[in-house]
Amino acid sequence: MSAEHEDLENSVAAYVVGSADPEEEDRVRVHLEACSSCRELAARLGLGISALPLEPEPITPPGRLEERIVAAARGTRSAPPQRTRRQLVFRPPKVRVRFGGWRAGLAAAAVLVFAVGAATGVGIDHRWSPGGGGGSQTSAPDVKRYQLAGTGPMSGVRGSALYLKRDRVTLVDLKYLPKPGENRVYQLWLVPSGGKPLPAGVFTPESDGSKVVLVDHSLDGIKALAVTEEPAPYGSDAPSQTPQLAARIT
Amino acid sequence: VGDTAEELSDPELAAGLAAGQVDAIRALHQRYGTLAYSLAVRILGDPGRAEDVVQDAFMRIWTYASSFDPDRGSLRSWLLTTTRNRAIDYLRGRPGRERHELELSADIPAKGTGSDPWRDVSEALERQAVRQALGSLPPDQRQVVELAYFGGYTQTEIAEIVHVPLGTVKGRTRLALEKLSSYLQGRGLIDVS
Repeated sequence: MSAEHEDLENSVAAYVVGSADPEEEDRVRVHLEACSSCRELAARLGLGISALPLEPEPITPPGRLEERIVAAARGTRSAPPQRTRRQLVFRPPKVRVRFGGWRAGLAAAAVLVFAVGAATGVGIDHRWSPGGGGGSQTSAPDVKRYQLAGTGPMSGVRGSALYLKRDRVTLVDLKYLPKPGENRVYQLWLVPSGGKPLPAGVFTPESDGSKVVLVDHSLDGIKALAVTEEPAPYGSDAPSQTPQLAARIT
Repeated sequence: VGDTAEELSDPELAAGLAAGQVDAIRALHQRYGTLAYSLAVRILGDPGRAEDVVQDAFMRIWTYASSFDPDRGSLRSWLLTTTRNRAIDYLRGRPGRERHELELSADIPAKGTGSDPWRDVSEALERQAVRQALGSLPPDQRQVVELAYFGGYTQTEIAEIVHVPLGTVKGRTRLALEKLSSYLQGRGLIDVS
């Protein structure tokens, strides 16, 4: 047996329990393909690992979890066939990238996510541009994350909003969206502390129920993000229904 | 799937999932939801985040159900392995990695289906046996297994945590897994056929 074999054999247990360091994991995986004795060892050690998930004390999940899962499954399976890019309305987001340091990185990441999304069919029809009052370059850097919670048919939706305060940009990442009704689209709203909700874009989910939406507006003075279903293709000037997906902005 | 979903075998349930039958994922949750949620809570210590992880795990099974191969392991093992991996990724702040979650070479076959009382009893017996097996390990061996499996720490991190050389951690991990496997096989809990 070679020294390399002995070295890798000592790592098989770590590999099996999922605690090998990444580089080591790759080396062991390659080695296992060629070494029958280490494969047998891995199989033998794996017997014990297979039992470990049964150790925790049983905790009954909340009833809503089953409904979330079912709603998410229903949403993804009923999603429409993926559209061609030609059918998409895509306009580049108005992200300011003239600054440096961490803000540039974050904004670039947001743009990259959005660009990747565009390449794979993600897009948003911006109907609303920010008003005056550009972002301050002297205010403290700040990034906040908000979780969106759904009810009813949106109970299975997973969503988060990442707000880059300095850049006045919010990246809304949604998963497991059900297909909107026929001739309907989803519309994102910014709900201010006073006054009527502001339309922040319309969208339809991808075939897998996901969507990434970039909102080019400050969340200052906004108390909630909300999503409603509205008439296609342009949505409404005001929400026509009670939002079933929303995040409170604090 | 319909009203008989509770009586379906795992392969039949997987076929229902692959066919996009929503009743099948409901049945899967009713059958293994408590196990998956308990595991996620055990790892994360946070019921809210555990819900997210379990939902992700179920959706992965739902999405890839057509790739299920009963010769490689049970639906339950696939779900629990996926749940564990998602929970660890969440806990450690790691992005989801491409994993070989279907490459299961060993399994504890689920006994019973649906919500029949026998399933609850058999799971309680399994849990008791697993705890006895873990309890039979020397404390230092049990510690490295729990840090690795439930804590998601790498061997290098464990060596730093317990202040022993990396080689010692690897040795303890191997000894622990050898003993766990032997103990559980000796009590007929593991199906090696």
